[in-house]
Amino acid sequence: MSEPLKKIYDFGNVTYRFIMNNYKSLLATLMGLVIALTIISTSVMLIDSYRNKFAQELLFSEWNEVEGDIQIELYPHPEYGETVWVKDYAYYKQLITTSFGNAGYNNYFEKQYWFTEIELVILYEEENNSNDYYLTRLKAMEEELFTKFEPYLNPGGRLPENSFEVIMISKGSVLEFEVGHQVTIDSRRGTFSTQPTNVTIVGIVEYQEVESLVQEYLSKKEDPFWFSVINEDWGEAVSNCIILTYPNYVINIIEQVRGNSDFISITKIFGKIHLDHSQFDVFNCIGEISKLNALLGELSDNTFAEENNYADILGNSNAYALLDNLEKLVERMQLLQLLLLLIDLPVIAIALYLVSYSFTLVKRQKKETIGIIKTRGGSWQQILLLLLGETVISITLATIGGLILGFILTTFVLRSINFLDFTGTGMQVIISPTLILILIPIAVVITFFLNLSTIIYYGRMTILESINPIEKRSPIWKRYFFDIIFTILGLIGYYVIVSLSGAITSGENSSLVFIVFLFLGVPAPFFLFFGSILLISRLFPFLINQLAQISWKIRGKLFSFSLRNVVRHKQTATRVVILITLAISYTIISASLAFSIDETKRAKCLYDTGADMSINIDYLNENTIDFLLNNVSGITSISQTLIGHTPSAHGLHYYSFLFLDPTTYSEVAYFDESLFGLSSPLSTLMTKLVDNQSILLYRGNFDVQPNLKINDQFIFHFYNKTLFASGGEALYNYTIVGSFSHWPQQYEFPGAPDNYIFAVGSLEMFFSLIKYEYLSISDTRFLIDLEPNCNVEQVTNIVGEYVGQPMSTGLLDYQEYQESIDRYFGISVLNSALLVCIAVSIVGVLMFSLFTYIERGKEIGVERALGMTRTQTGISFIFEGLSILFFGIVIGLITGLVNTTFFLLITQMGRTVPPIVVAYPFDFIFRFLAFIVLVNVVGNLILAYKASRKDISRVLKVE
Amino acid sequence: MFLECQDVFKLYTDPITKIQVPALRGIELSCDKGDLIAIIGPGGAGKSTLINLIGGNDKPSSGLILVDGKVVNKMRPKELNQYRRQEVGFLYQFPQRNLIWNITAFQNIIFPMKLTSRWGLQKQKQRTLELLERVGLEKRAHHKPHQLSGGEAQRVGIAVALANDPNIILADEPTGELDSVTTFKIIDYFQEINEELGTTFVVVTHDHRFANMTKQAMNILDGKIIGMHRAVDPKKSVSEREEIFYIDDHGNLRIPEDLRRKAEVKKHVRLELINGRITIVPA
Repeated sequence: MSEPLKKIYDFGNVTYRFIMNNYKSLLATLMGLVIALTIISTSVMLIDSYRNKFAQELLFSEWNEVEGDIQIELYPHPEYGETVWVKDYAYYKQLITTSFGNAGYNNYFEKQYWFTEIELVILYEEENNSNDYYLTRLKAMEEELFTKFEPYLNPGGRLPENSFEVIMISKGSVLEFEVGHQVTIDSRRGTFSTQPTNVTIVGIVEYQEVESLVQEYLSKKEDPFWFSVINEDWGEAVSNCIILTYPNYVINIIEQVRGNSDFISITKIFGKIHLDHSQFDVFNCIGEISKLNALLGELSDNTFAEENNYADILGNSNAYALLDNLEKLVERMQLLQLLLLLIDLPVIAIALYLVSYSFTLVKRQKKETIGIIKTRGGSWQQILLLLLGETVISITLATIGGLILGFILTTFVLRSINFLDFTGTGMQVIISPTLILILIPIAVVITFFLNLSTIIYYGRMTILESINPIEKRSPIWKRYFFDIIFTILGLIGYYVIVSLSGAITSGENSSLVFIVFLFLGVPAPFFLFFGSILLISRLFPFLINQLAQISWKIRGKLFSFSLRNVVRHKQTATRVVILITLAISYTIISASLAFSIDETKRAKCLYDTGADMSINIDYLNENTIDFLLNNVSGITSISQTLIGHTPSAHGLHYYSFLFLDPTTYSEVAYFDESLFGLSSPLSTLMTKLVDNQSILLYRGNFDVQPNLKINDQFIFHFYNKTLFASGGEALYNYTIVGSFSHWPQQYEFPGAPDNYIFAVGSLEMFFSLIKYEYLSISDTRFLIDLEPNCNVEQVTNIVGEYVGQPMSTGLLDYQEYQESIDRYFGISVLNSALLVCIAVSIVGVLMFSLFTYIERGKEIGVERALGMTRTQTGISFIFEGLSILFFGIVIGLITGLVNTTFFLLITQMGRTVPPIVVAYPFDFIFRFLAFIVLVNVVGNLILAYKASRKDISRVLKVE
Repeated sequence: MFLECQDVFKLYTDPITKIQVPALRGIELSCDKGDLIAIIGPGGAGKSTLINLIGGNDKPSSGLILVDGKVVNKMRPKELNQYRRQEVGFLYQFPQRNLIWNITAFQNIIFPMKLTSRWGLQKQKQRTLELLERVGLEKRAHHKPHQLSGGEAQRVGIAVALANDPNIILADEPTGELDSVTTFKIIDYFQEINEELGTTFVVVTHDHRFANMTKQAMNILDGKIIGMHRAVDPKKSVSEREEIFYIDDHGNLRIPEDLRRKAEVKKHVRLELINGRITIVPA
């Protein structure tokens, strides 16, 4: 008689055994989940790591350093101006300290500065000199602040030691004072004047340009106070001058002007409070906003409710800017997360596909084990619990794996300075607790979404079902034509967006159009991306079958045998092809987009100037050009351009010409819409201007003359003074060798194309026309092209100084863009996605080979038993892997390039000037593909070797 | 009777043609507790189907299967689980259906016990070692199935089937993958266990050597038991045993082809009752 069964089921142990039995399958299944979680955790880590930088950029600009974070302005109340309102700085400081204390904001307090300013007319009565009146600003400040001026004092100057010593700050040497001079000052307003005071000038600060002085202070971040120098033109009788002195001096004057309403509005006390920025928790902006609001409330409502004084935290104070920017930071972080989700979505989808794909591959092994457990009496609840236990452990492992890999990946990509260039200095990786809180639910949702139905099915399946072979139904997307639906939806979305783009840009019905855009435009690229790939993959089995048959007919031997093997396992092979295609296509799209964005940005920067640099100058002699070319490093070419124009002799048109040197002209500045309204960097417009008989004609002129075609002759009717005297006009025939849609903004737009003919010709053409004085010249410039990595700032300064003209260049803006946090962030994100895609491409193919090796052991055994040699087994193995990889690459390449163009067209939303530049980084793409092929070949070689070494008798007997 | 099959039919529906195909056609079978019976027949005769029905893995289209007085085909899933845990042990042809591949022989044997928590851990371990010793693999306890030979893997399979001390062991082609030497060893184990533990064995096989070792060896063909070898003296070889044929409730009788050929029996026969015996005469 059997002993009664215990009620307690040894769940932990059995689950452990079950997992240990399936650990290889578990790892394979986990791979996709780990990759998905890696990309999610990397994204969050990237945002968190960059958050400080974004905060630094948004919240704590250099202006905060200079002006303080909170500025307080005090001035007499308009109604009670006659009462006492100036107190010493210590009093105000105490008020601030109290306010901070009340608001619980003490930790944030760093320092505060106070100063007084009076704007009034002062009589300088210099020894041995006639009296002069100057409009002056009198500034008084705390003694410690004087030291900030020490570096800027003219030679021989020193800092004041008492209120009878002053520093004069003036633009240039207008006042002609010298250090040591004694001057008598009385303050006047209308008919009122204060008692004259004798002061000694102990120091002078001169500045040439207001901006440069301010800039200097800014760059040194030393300006301790609101240094708003007088820069208005107040006439000859006054001078831009500031007297800097001790507070007592100002208080003395204020005592004298008390009661005089003329003085009230021009006397102010300022306080600037600097906060300790390190106290700001950028991960809790909402909390910071609330705390800062509390402080401002405390400052406004309580501390500065001083009777008879009008005190205010300035309306345009940095404190309010700080508040605004904190809110902006919150919005920006949310926007970045959304943007990242959109960027990462395809990669996450690819990874999830890998989950589902690998799960399918391991299904059979799992079924067998479940069958055995059921045979031994395992109930469906026990099996369900086992599978759920396995799932929980999978989620835990995947989360840990995702975090670790995410950390490694983030560390790596934070060193990104360019596309797949990780030579930067890097940043500290921030892992916030929120990440773990986000990651676990995501892992749970993903896992259960993908596996729950299978888990339940496995739990409930009968023993016989566990023995039956895996169902060979077509995948769900094939059965329900998701590929066709997605592609059609994508195309409709694209069509609608391009049609609506005009309305969006013009602002008509913008809300409705925007809603349509959100519903159709945002998902359109994703529909197109997945739809087109699945659609082509649908054809894969047919294509490979055809290829196998052709190869069979022409006795392709092992190759055709391998292709037939692929055909036989077409379900699995198609899954791998889709996986590789998705990864490669996404890589190409993201790489092309990154390059296109860079090129577009560069084009936009250059669009203003028409070249890397330009000088608007009539003439540069040969020697100057030679000197610049030979002595300024970085210059590759200097070429002249001229704008010539004239009315046509028959009076119907007005001709405008841009003449240039096609051999040296900066091609990038001129745009030829050559790719569905996008710009191609491969434009060869300049090479078409081969002689002085060729012109490029504005596309607008083509639009108004529909019969006009490229290679047609275009006749210009020039007004010839000599011939006109005899009643004639000069006709010149030119061949239209190309057309253009956009040109640099610095050249004047001639007018409506039905009246104005706008053409580009060579300098030779110009010389042939100018000798007959057919044209008036309105603009001459010299365009300079630079080497890619030269020091633009240095070249600008050298050339500018040498030719005596300021240089125009957009390259500095481009450099600024290239070094901006936004770009580094974007590059880091793209790099992380790319590295994942590379991993997926490699893992996808190797998994196919690995499972072929594991699952088809018996098949290999039979082949060997039928006479196949080890070498042949190995080669057929490699052929199978590579033929799948080849198809994946071809489909990925096609869909990647096409989808990039579609995506850019949608991004452009119609036409932009200059148009978005489409740049396919073929060099990068081919290196990327070569790398994948290489790794796969090596991986396949190892597996092929192992497969060829399988013991035939054993595999036939056991596997 | 410990095991009884009463007029068991099993029909399968062809998934493409939707035509019902009979796999078993009125099986009548019975044996006592502690019997070791073999059901011998060619491929496609319905052997595995019969084993699956007795084991409760599948349900018959009609008929009754009784084990120890309980109707297996009327059991609810929960009862079936208990049945598989307590009453029955399975042994299949392929080791990968008997054993979990990546765990050791020891772990494979202890696994069913853990699944039921029938005994405490110490008892489970002790029993596992005993079973390993019984099948002569105590030295291979920590080897994984792929490190064992086919015969050894099958012996571990026997130990796994015995893990929860079942009353009946159902073996489906247990020696199908083995050479003759190993086959005889397995047969010896069956006999030994059957005698020592009194466990009932139902072995389905196409291997006629099993007929030698069993008291009853049924012949199954086209889904019907057509007859049996009954051992008057179990030590005699199969050729010396009594071969009897089965007549069903409808009076159907299957005459083996070699007998028909020798007696020149073709499509029609005449039955003659002579001295109380039925004689078949070709017509």
